[in-house]
This record gives sequence, C-alpha cells and structure tokens, in this order.
Amino acid sequence: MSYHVLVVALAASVLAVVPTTWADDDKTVLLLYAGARLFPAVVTVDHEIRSTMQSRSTAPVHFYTEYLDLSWFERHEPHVSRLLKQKYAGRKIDLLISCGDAAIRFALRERAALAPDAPIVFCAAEHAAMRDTPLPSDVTGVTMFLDWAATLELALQLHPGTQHVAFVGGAGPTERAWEGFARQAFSKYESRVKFSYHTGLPMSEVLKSVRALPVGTVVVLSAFLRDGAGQTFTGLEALSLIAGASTVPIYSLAETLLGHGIVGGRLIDFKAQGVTAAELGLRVLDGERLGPSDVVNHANLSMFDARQLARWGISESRLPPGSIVRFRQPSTWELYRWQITVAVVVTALQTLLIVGLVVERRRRNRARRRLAKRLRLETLLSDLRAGFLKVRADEVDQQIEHSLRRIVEELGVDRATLGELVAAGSPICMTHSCGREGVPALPRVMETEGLPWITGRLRSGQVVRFTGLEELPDEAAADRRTLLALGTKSLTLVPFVIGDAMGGALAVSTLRHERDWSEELVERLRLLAEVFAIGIMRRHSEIAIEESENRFRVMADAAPVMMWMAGPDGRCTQFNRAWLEFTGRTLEQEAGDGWLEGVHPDDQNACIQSYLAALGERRAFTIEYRLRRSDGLYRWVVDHGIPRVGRDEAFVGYIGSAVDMTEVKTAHQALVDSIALRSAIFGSLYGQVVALSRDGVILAVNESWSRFAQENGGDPLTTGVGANYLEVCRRAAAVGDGEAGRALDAMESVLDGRAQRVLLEYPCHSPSQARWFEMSVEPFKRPEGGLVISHVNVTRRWRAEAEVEHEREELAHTLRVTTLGGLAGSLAHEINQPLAAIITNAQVIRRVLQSPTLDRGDISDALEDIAEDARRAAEVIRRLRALFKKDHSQREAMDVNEVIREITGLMRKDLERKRVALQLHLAQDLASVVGDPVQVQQVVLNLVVNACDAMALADGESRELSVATRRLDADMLEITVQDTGTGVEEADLERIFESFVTNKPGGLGMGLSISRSIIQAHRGDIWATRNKDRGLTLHIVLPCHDR
Amino acid sequence: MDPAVVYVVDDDSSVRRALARLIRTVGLDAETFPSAQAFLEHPPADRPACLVLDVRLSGSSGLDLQSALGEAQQNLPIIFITGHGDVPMSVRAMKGGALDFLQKPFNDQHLLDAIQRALTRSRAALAEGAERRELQHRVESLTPREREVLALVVTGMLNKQIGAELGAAEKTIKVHRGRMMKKMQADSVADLVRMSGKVGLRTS
Repeated sequence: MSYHVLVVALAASVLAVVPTTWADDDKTVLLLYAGARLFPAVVTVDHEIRSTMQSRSTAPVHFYTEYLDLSWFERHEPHVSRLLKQKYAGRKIDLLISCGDAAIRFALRERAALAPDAPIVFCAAEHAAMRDTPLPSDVTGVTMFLDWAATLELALQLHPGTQHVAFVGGAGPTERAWEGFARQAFSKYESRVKFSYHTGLPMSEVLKSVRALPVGTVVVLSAFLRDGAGQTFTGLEALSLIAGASTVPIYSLAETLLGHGIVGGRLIDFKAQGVTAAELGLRVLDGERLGPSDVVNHANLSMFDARQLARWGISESRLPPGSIVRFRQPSTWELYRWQITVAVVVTALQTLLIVGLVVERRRRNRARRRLAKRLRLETLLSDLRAGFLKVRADEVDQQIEHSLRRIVEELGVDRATLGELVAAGSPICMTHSCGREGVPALPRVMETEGLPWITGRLRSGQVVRFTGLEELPDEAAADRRTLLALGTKSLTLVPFVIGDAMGGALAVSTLRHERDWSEELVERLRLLAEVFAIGIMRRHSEIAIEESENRFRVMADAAPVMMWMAGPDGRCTQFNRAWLEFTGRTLEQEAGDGWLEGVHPDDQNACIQSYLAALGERRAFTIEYRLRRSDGLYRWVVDHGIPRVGRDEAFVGYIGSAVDMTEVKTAHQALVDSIALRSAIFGSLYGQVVALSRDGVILAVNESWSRFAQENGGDPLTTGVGANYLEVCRRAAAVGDGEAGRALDAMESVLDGRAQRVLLEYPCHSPSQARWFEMSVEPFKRPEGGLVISHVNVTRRWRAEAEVEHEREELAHTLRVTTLGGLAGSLAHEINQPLAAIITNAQVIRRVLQSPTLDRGDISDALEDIAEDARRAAEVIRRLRALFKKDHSQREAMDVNEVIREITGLMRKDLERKRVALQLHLAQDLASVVGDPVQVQQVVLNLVVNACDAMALADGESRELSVATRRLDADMLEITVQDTGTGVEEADLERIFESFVTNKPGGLGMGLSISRSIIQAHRGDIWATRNKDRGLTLHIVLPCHDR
Repeated sequence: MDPAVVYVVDDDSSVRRALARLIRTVGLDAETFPSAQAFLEHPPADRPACLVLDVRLSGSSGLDLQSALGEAQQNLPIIFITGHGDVPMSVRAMKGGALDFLQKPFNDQHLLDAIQRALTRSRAALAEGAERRELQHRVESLTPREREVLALVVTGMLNKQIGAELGAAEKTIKVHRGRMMKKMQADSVADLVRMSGKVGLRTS
C-alpha cells in the first residue's frame, strides 16, 4: 500500500521537473546497473563509461542512471519496472547500457516499455549466461568470465601444500548463481583437494567458520551481497570482515577487491569492462549497427597484491608469466639507489685506513692480553673448585649458576651453558645457562635430532669446538642449521661424565662474533666441567633420597593399614592417613606420646611397658590394646613395630603398623559360643535326633534319642553311637517291615542327593497307645557327608488333625442341611413337577379308557411320559439324599462341571424365584478333581446362595450370576462364581473367610469359613475379588489331573 | 360362536403335554406355551378362552403375566397352578383377579371344572363386550346437539328444562330428542339410562 503511494509520488515529482533544455543532437544514455550504487565494480564501471564516452563523443552525452539493486530487492522487480516506465515516459533514450547479469536481463525484458528504439550495450555480464541468451540484432556488449577454475589453479600452484579449499559467498540470487558456476568448475578438482562451501549463512557464522579454517586451506571468495540473515553488504565490506577473520590466503574474482585482503586470482577487470562498453556505445551512437556477433569477450587477468604475496612468502618469480602485481612496496635500495652508492664508496675508503692502523696496534697488545687471560683462567678454576667443595647439596644449583656467570665474565663469551644428556634418545636438558646481558635465553630442552653430530661426538667423549659454523663437516648439516637458528657463531662443548655414564656437557659460545678456542682454554673448561659434574652428582643423590622418603609417605598414606613411625627416643613422628582417619585426630595431636591418649585407660600401662621394654632392647614387638576410634568406640588393635636402621646400621626408631581386629576377636568369640550353643541345642532337642556318617554309622545321638531307645527296650548295639543304623533298617526291611523300607528309601535318596530333605510320617504304636511319628531326613552338611535324622512324636498333632477333620465334616453337614432347608421350596418344585405330570397323565389314561370316543393313541404317549417323569423324580431324590447324607469323606475322581450342573439344577427354581439369571460357562477341557463331590457341591451351593442373597440385598436391576470353570494349567483348574450383588469392601476381602463374620441379616458367618476349610482339604485355595463394576467374584482353584 | 380354547403356560414340557392331553379329553382346544413371553407374543383369539398358568415360570413369573394382561383378564380368566403353593402367592393371585388356584398334583375333575367356569365367564364377558361395542357405535352416530340432549335426558330433565339449559326452544329439543331416541334404538328413558351406563356415559 505505502509502496504504491510512494510510486505515485515519485512519478508526480518526476513529471513536475521538466528539464528538456538539451539540443536535438545531444545523446541520451540510460545506464542500468544491476547492483547498488556503492558496489566497487559499479563505481569502477560507471566511472570508465562516463569518462570514456564524454571525452570521446563528438556530441554531448547525457546520462540517466538507475541502480536496480535487484539482488537486494528481487521481489520488487515488477514495481521497479513500472516506476521506471513512468519515470522515462516521453524521454528520448538513444542507448541503453546495462552492467551486470540482472541488468541485461532487465533491459532485454523491459526495453519495449522503457525505450523501444534504443539499442542495448551490456557489460559485466557473465559469459556463459550470455552465450545461452538469445539476443536481438541490436544488442551487443562485453562479457566477463567467472574464471573459477583458473583462479583455483593459481591458488593451488602458489600454495602447493593446499589440502582444503573453502568457498565463501553470500545468500542472494547472484551469489547462488555464482556458487553454481563454481561448484561445476571445482568438480574436476575434487580428487586433489577437499572443498567446503560456506554460503547462505549469517555473516557471524561465516566468520566463525572462516576463523576455524586450518593451515593448508585456501579461501575462494565469491560474491557477497547479502548474508543468510538478510543483511546486505558491498563486496568490500564483506571482504574486509572475512579477511580480518581469515588466517589463510584468500583468492577471488574481482579486480576491485585487489588491495583489500585478497592475494589475487584470475580477476575480472571492471575498468576494461567499462571502457569497452563505452567504446561499443560510442560506435552505436555514431550509427554503427552492432549486434550479437560484435560481442567482446574479455579475458581475465592474473593479478596479485604484492603485500599479500609477501605475507604468504610467495616469490614473484613463481607467478605465471604476464601476471600483474599491484601495491608493490618500493625497497630502500629502489628509492635511494644513488645516495647509497656514494655513501658506500666513501665508507669503504675510510675503513681501509682504520684497519691498517688497528692491525699494528693489536699485534702489540695480543701477547700481553694472553698472559693476563691465562692468569684469570687459573684463578677462576681454583675459585670455582673451592666453591663446590664447601657448598651444600641444596646450594649446588645456585653455585653452578654463579660459576657460569663468572665463566661468561672471565672468558668474555656470550653464553655458558650446562646441559645434561642422560640417556640416548632423550632430549638435551639445559639445566643451567648464563648469558651476557641481552643474549636470548636458550630453550630449556632441545631435541638431539637437531644436533645429531655434536651429540654423537660428545657421547664418545670428544670435545666439539669451532670458530665458525663453516668448520663443521658436511655430516653436521643439521647441527649447523640448529646452531644458525640459535645465532651461535663460535662454540666449544666439553663433555663430562657422572659416575660411569655420560652426564652432559659444558658449552661456551659467542653470538656476536667468531672467536678462537685455545687448547689451553679447552683444557681448563674440561676441569671446570668435572667440578660441575661433582656438584650435579651431589644434587642427584640428594634428590634420590628425598624421593624415596616422599614415596614412602605416599605409599604409607595409600596403605589400608594404620602405620606409624617413631624416632630413636621412641616418640612417634609420623602417622599415616589410615591411622589419622581411624582416630579422627591430627598428626600434631598424635605425635610424640599423644597417641597414648587414645589407648583405653585399662590397656595404657601394659601398652607403655611393652613398648618401652622393646625400645630398650631395640627389638621388634607386638602389642594388643584397645584404641579409641573417631566415633568414640574402643577397638582392639594389634600393633606390630619393627626397628628402623639407618645407613650406618644405627637404630633410628620404629616403623609400625596396627590392624583393627575387633571383628576378628568378636567372630572368634562367637564361634566358640556357637559351638557350645549348638551342642546344647542338639542335646536338648525335643525330638529324637541322630547323626549318621555316609555309611550309616551313628556318630551322635541326643538325649531324647537315648531315652526313647531305653524306654522302648532298644538295644544299644543297634541304636547307640557306633551302630550302623542304615544296616539295621535294611535288615528290618528285608523281613517285611514296610515302615523300615520307607525310612531306608528316604535315607538313601538324601544320601544320593536325589532329595534335599525327606519327611515321612509313620505309625509306631506302643503296646499301650497309638503313636505317630514324623521322620525328617536331612543331609549332614559337612565335607564328609552323612545324614541328620530326627523323629518327632506327632501323635498329638495327628489326633488334633483327625479331630478337626471330623468337626469340619460335622459342621459342613449341618451347614449343608441348613442351606438346603432354605431351598425347600425349590426342591419341592423339582419333585412336584414330574409328579404332577405323572398324575395328570394317569388321569388322562383313565378318561380315555372310560370313554368310547376318545383317541386311544394318547395312551402310549402318556405312559411314556409317565416313565420319564418318574425317572426324573427319582434322580432329584438321589441327589438330595446324597446332599443330606452325613458321612462322606470318600474320595473319588469327579467332573467338576457335572458337580456344578447338578447343584445349580437343584437350585433352578430358587434362582427363578429370586429373579436371578444364572449363566454357566463351563470349560470343555476340564480334568477331573479327586475329592468328595458332595463337599465341592456344598461349596458351590454356598457360594451361589451367598451370591443370590447379596444380589437380593443390592436391589439392583439385574441380578446376574455367572458360574464358570476353566483350566489354569496342567494340574490346576479354577471355578469362579461372579455376582452383581452388594460386594465387600477391599479391606474385608480376606476377613469374610473367618468364622462368624457375615454381611447377611441373620447369617451365621460360617459358610465361607467352611468352604475354605473344604477347599483347603482338597489342597486348593479359595479367595474373593471385587468386580470392576459391582459385586464379588469368588475364585476356587483345585488341583486336577487328566483321567 | 367359535369353540372355546384353553391356553396352558408352564415351563415344564412334560406338565404342558399332560395338561393339553387332559383338556382335549373334554373336547376343548388346548394351546401350550413354555413362557409368559411366548404367550404374550401370541395374538389373542376373539373367542371364549381361559388361561392355565404356572405361578413360577422361568423368566417373568405367572403373577407378572397376570398383571400384564390387566383388563384383558375380563375375557381371559386365569386358573393358577403351582407346584408348591404358598399362601401369600395365592392371595396375590386371587386379588389380581384369578379365577382359581390349584396346587399340583391336582384332581383332573377339579381342573376341568375350573376351566368350564372360566369359559362360561369368558363367554359372558365376550357377549357383554359385543353389546357395549354396538351401543358405542350408536352413540357415535349422534350429532353433537343430540349427544348434549342425550346427556341431559338421562339425568331425568324434561324437554322444557333441557331447552332452558341449552338455550333452545322446547319444540326444537323435542325434535332432537326424537331423532336421538331413534338412533339409540331406545324404547324408553329407562332403556336409554341402562344403555348409557353400559357405554360409561357420565350421568352427572
């Protein structure tokens, strides 16, 4: 909206100013630039076109200029063309000159509207793009090459180590097009170098990735007019940012970028583009008809920035022939050649004169100086030697430094160095070095690879000395390079040995000038080196001692035992971390006799006396005492000390370790106690217990066993210790004692490992009473094996169980009869129904027989029905009788489905009366259950009656009862009775199985309790769960097996 | 009139068969149904009929069926039979309009007598129903004015009083009255009063 307003306003303002004061033969040129006004290429081209045309044209030339900025305002192209159309409506345009790809495309498309009669000259149009564009006959121009391949080739040639090329560019349409050309051109080089493309990103990201480019990378910079975040740039702005971030060389395509951070490349010469376009334009304006065949293709130029070449160490000689190098820094020589020449000649003459005079003078002085020097050297040597004799080990370093400084001063060298050369392959360690003021310090460590020849010589004990580097032999080339790098001019190296091995070397060198090393000097240096070697040796041994003590400390601290150390007076000096952590005290607190404070008061005396006694004899000792732990508890520790002996075999104190053995002590006591306890337990066991060896020999018996044997007239020969119990049983089994046979089986199966434990019950009636015993056979858990057998009199339990069983049956019967009583109506109906049919049928027969008219055929049908109904009635009575019978407890295989069908059949009428809809879901594959069918029926009856009552209480709409059976697995089946009754609270689900717990008004609370005992007697289980919606489900599982 | 039919509803098939046989020995039609539902789905016959119904049925009970039948019981008297009769249930059945309540096993003659009584009642009910329908038909043939006149005549008003009541001349009322009496085929006012009682016209 606002844009349209703007267009109209602009158009109005253009129309308002009418400057047509130009003459008729004046020429008007409309310049169309694709880019923005400030693009370097645009500035260059514009300048060249204007200046060339204006200077060479015969007629005055006027210019209109439009910067389309299409790469920044792509989407607005239609608006732009509409604006221009209005702007130039009615103007005479003699020529259109376009600059840039987008501009020529725009000119070709919009010419008809803008200036229909004006021919077009284009420049700075990409060669390949123009080649593919069909051009009208009055369009000509000059193309440019985006010569990516040649630029890359140049870069690779000038940076032979290049492994990686980073292509950097903007995110606009021009940049995308350029990137396309570049990728195509680079595809041929992919086997030689790796390419990465940093395009379409925000500038910050571009800079980040450029900053991270490793050495061995070359940046190729494409156009960068807009970044991924939409921010706009001129090429120069982009370049200056990227060049600032880059640590690697940058190549590009535009000559306008040269001098701003690129090394160079096969560059497009925009100046030439402008000039050529102007020339073509002039010819067209002069009336020449130029067309597509007159298009000029400009070759790019190899151009470089001299400063960049210097930066990357590229010699101009390596540039391809015909390269243009700009921004050369003229050298001093180039600037002041003549002045320098004159000065040099004058200086040379003066020097000659001076030298003549000096030589004469020096000859005289030399002898005098040599004498003085020798004297100084001897003084130095004796001074230093004396110094090293007095010095303490920790002052050795200081003394060496001091000595080296004196050597530098006295010998007038630039640097004196002491290097250690310990093992072959390890680097040379410059332990001490002293230089004259202003002399750079040596690196502390030097690799021997840098000085192979010298190191070799030194190792073989030879002195190395030279006045000039050129004296070094050819094989010392590497040494020479290293020394050159260090700035060494003259050098003497004297090796020294420490012990029997190569120790290092003393080096003196000059850096400012060369000098001679006299034999005498070298000899003195040798002596000095020996003095140093002794000092170094002392220092080494001192370090070794210190290290070993430190190592001991570290080890002691890491040790899990508590350790301590004492001096010759017996006072403790050291405690390790374990000790201090144990007592929770500091070293200061424990030191001396402080540790005794932690010893239990009762143990202190004994502890001190033992320690002092041992100390007196300087012998090893072991003391046990209670030591207070950090938590305040006293713990038993065993403290073991051994004398420490110094180097001279002298006693220097104790080192000791202490171990917390409270647990061990406790465990030991516990063991003693437990043995006593066990034998006490064994002896007093209620049952008759016997332990047998593997062979069956009785190893031990308890009191109860002996008493029982005695009371029952057992022969000690067969039941006492030493008898073979297994054998006794074997004999008894052989003569037909069934119980003995079973016992034997049990014992053998445990001995063989077939069973872990066997329990068997057997009767063992005495003449006066019936008795039952339970025999338990278990392995004697010890390496030798054996058995532990116990016999327990279970007569009481046996009786109690029988009693309970009997009571349960009584109770069950009572309950059953009561329950059935409640069903009387239903049961009467079940019997009445067939009886009614029988009687009616009998009456029918009578009537038929009495009447002469009635059909006699009915008689036989009626008789048949009578027989069937009588059978039905008998069946009902049979079932009822079974339920009313008291004594059952016979076990038989039963079909649970049949059991359920029978009982629910009997209750049918009752359910109907109570409006309960019964559904049976009986599984087909049900195995049979061994037990008492009547009891199982009673349980089902009970559950069904309960369910009916619960549903009657619930007043629910639907009273649905479902009885289902299913097979759980091979030997378990489940019966579920599910109702929609009042249900039971979650908390009461288990309680309802207790006796006298009931929800029913007038209920006894025995039904479920009896049901559970019945099911448990069948080795099954019964429980209740709440239904999701309402009501309760009773689950019964029973063991079963296939017939 | 069609021959009478006895419906038997009992869930025990053997009882159903025996009862059907017994009923047929006295020359009556018997139709049996295993449940109340089955019976209700059967279209009612327009002939003398009665229902022999077991009190305890699977599904809805005999008493439920009785109350479901409601008014229709006029034409279909019910004889309840039960395997195990209890007093409260028989009281409910009799209060609900049952004709008889027999306990299984029952004497054949007792049942057949009960059936005969039931059928007699059914026949009477059917006849009465037919007359009421005829009278109803006659009332419906009256004009609204004649119906107004009828309503006032049966209260014992004279023509003059009726005229005053309806705001018409006595003469006009007389004409209406004559037409009405003719349409109702009534010989006298007493006859008309009996008729209107039968079709349940209000005589207020």
